[in-house]
Amino acid sequence: MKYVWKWIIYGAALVCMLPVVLIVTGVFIGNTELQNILGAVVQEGSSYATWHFVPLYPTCRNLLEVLLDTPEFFVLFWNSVKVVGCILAGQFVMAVPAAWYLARRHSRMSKCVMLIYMFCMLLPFQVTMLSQYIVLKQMALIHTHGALILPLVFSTFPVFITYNSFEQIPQSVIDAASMDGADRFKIYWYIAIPIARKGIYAAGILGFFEYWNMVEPVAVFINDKKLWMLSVYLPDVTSGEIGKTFAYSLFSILPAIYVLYAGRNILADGIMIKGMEN
Amino acid sequence: MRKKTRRNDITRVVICFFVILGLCTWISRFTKSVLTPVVESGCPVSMMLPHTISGTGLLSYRKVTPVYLYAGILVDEVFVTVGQNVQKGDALVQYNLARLEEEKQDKEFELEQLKSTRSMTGRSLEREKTGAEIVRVENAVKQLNDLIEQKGIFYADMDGMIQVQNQKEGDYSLDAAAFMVGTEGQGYIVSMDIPEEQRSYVQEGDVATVATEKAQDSFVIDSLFYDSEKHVYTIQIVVEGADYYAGERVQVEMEHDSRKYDTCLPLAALHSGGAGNSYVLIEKEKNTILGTELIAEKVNVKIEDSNMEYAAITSTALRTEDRVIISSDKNVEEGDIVREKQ
Amino acid sequence: MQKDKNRHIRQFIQSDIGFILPSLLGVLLFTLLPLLDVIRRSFVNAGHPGFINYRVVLSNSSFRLAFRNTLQFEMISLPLLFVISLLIAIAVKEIKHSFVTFAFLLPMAIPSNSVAVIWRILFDDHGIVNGWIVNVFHGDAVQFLQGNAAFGLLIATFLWKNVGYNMLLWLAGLAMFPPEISEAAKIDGAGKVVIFIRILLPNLRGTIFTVWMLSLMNSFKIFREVYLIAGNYPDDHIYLLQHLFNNWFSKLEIGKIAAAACITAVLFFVILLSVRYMVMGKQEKNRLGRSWRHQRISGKKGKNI
Repeated sequence: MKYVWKWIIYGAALVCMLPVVLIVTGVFIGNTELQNILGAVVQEGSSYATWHFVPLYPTCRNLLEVLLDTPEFFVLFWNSVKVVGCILAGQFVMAVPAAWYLARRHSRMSKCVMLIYMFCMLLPFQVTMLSQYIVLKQMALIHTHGALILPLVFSTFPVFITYNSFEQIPQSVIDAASMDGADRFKIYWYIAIPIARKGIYAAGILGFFEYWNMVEPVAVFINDKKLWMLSVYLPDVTSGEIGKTFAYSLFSILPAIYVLYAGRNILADGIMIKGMEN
Repeated sequence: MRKKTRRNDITRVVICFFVILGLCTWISRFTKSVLTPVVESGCPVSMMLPHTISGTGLLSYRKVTPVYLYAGILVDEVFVTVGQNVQKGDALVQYNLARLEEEKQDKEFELEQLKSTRSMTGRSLEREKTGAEIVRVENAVKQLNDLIEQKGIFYADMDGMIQVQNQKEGDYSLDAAAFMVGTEGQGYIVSMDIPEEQRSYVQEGDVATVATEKAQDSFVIDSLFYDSEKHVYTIQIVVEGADYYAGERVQVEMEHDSRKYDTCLPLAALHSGGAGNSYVLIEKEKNTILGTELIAEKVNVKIEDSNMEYAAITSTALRTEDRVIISSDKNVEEGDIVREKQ
Repeated sequence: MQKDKNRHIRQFIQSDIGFILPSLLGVLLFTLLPLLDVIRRSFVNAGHPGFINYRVVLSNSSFRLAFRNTLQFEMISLPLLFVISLLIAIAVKEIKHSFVTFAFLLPMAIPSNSVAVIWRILFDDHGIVNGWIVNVFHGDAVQFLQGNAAFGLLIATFLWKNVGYNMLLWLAGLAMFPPEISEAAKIDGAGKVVIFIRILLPNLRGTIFTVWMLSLMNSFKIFREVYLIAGNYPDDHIYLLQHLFNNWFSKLEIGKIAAAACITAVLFFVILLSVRYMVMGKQEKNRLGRSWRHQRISGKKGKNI
């Protein structure tokens, strides 16, 4: 029984990995071969698309073309890096202290605030996008990166994640520190953050996936193509440059995959759930 | 320990990644800028097209005197050519002596006949007629005698330049003027041939610049006519001045402004589209990820008129504010991205 | 001594408002104020106050369709995700192979436009999956982007993307659960299923709530993939609330958006409160009591059990 389970799990894992495998192998397939195997998707016909996991004629052309010949890609890439970096940095400054505050103070007020924060976290973008647009326009941020960065810096999701980590810190540690004469900021910076750093990393990593992948705010708040992000640009699959699409996708996926790889253990450890009580 | 090295690994990988991508960013921009054609562009202008006809004209005397030869005698040699200056007493042609003698004998015979005829008739009218004939023939004989005395060489009796030569060697001497000799006194004429396609740009009354090595001056075109033998149009310009001498070849230039055309472009901006069609490439702004880029767009045009530098065109799609690509350092096709010269 | 401690703590608590103030202001400005503005706009139509927007929205057939679809989607996919990710979490815990965890987490990391490209290739009418179905399994080609198949694809995509994430959450929750208790139960002779229902689940309340809430949040993010694959007006079966909002936004139907947004927001709030109470209700009072007990001995009694 366990054996069967094991192989089911492995199978499921493989299915989850399939798209990444497709992209990685697809990058090295030349355009003509891609036309042959995927042509059925592009043109109407009676045949079906197939896939070559090992290309018949491997080529690095698409890869090199995107890396060396396509300045557009890099504009998008650095935009993404800039926006995501600013958001994560801002969240560290804004959200983490708030979580610390809410985690240590157990008054009714803070419970209320936490509830409101959870509610804000749940709201889909579309509910507030109209009024957010107006607010941003008033602040003259519309059509700049500020329109993407600022609202998300104040997202309440990282508050939620780090709150759970901060809550795990025993009160005794805090008391000991405050008795040693440390002021509140020192306690926060030198004690709370190092202890809860896994939670903070986890919030950062989850935030990275979220914002590297951001689509709707970009589509609504920004209409200047110079400011687009990698996640928004979708090269045309139907054109003859399918290989380039794969290369583009590969390079937009790579950072996310690496972050996942580097942080897989931290993610597991950092997400603390409120423990059970006896 | 392991944590720290892992942290270092991660940092190293991240930094490497960013460095590589930064490098690639730079490389891709570099290749793009190298491969992008750099163009010069301009808007179509409204102007008149000046047409400059230039060529070499031949200076000749305005005053011409015909020289007649004794007609009907075989001419052995012609000593002069067109453009040659002759002076009084220069040898012009060499009659065939034998023929001269023959002619003289014929004429003498004729004279005798006439004289006998005269003596035989009694009527005064006929006598007068014959008398006139006798005088003519006597003159002819005298001419012939003179010629024979001169060994058959006919000498010029004036100074001037042979401007037209109708008499050829080996031909019989002509009734019409054998030569036209130009003499000083009434100025000069510059003659120039105009090819058919330039005919429309020249009109009588236009101002032409006549230039010698020493000086140049402007004169008015006197006449324009079609030479049916040589199948060219010839213009004649009356030239006054002391710096000219006949026979000289001079540079003649005429400028004629066409009517004002609304859209004119430099010739370099036009491209041939095959089958006699022409097109130009205009710059169109396009908003792309890299900012505002210029893309070449094709616009069909029809050429109305052109001179050496500009062409006047008509086009349904070309507007006066469109920037037309005039020149580029690489071949530009429709749809290419181009860059303006800084 | 105690009083000193109390004073210290009181000072500590009372004087670090600065920690939360920027965040509060930001949230206020960018989320709550817009929300209030939306509420205000929902009651205004061309300058006249009234409920007309709500009436229009509630009777609008597109809204009903989108609402029904979204509700259907939530009610089917959330429980499915719950169960599947929990089972996988339990199995993965025993495998202890970190690569498997990594593989399951991968879909979470893949940006939506890459997913759109791959999905197009796979699930097109002449795509790779149909090729397998027809050539290998000799079945009929399925039109994945239309009809019920589209809905199925939507749910499958959602599950694929979030299984890893939820598995992570379950693993985190399970990790807090010391194995001794289940060992003890096993020794007592309880079967696996009994352990599961009677012991694990009740103690995973916090996890359940977190998982549920985050899954709900993520279920609305699947709109991105649908939008990139099927555009603004997909098949009726997968026309979600967000499609509706997007289309109304591009047509500047502000009153309708505002009213629909209000309805949605209120629903969220109600659901959040009720589930929280259901799952965490008693828990809350316990925790509150415990922390109070730490702080004060004399004076007010904590609400202990």
